[in-house]
Amino acid sequence: MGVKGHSRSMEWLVMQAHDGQLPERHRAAVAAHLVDCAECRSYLGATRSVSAWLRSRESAPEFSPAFSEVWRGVASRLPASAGPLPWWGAWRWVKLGGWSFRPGWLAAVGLTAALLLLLVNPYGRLPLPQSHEASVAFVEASDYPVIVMMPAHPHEMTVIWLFEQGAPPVPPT
Amino acid sequence: MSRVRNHPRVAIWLLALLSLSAPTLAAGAEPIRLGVEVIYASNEGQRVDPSLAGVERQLRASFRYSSYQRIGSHELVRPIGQQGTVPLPGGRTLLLAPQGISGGSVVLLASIQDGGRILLNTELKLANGGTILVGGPAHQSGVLILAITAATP
Repeated sequence: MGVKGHSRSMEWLVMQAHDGQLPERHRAAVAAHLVDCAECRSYLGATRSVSAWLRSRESAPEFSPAFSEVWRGVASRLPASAGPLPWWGAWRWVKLGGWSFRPGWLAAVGLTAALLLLLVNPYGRLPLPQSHEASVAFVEASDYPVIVMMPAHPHEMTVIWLFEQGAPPVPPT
Repeated sequence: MSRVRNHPRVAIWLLALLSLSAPTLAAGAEPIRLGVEVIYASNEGQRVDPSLAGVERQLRASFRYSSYQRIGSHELVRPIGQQGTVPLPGGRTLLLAPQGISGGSVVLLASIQDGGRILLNTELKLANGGTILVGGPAHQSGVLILAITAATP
């Protein structure tokens, strides 16, 4: 949306006027221009309409009376003094069954277990997945030609093929 | 109550001590489990050995033989650096020697020998439980295909 035949600066000035942020020195000129220019008046009117619609969308949702009544009932049962737990709350003693512990220790045990797992498995991974992944570092076959076929599809395997004399001339795919 | 309260602290210290000893466990000479399926592939008939059901799809995707028959199955457990031997048809021998674990994969030296002659010498890197197919040596009217698998116990 813009004003045809006007510079961007005039468009900006109209927008500033709409927002109530037009510098004092430009107010008279813009007001005079709006009196004479129907296009700018139309632009300003459209801008105001859009702003009004946006403001209406930002307003709080209206709930049905039934919902409000249910919510009042729920709110009345909530503890009034329940505030956020301070960060040191995790280090308070908690009694559970016959045991007494601090919840923060659970996090410490978890972190230590993770560290243990990393150290037991030097590659920092969970037990390696079963797969058919294979690679060939080198191949030597001094007497016969040999090829290495890497899998083109997940269901294929890496193949080292030795073309030995006497073998039937049925090549692999 | 203080004795009960100390349980988590004791557990943390135990875990910490275990974690200190973990590198020793990881660096220890864990044996490598090696599996070798000796498969005879030919164009005689259309039969696929039912025991090869686990690799039939891979075999058919990789080769065009019509018949696959398992003629041998071997399992070795060798520590890193120790060599294992698998007899193959025709007086040949497959030598396997795990060299170590790199990047989560088993590094394996494999060699097919016929008497004193080395047919094939290769270094493989197999993911844990991974399989590679080594084929081509002539056998009867077909070829031998070796499905070599390596896994950490």
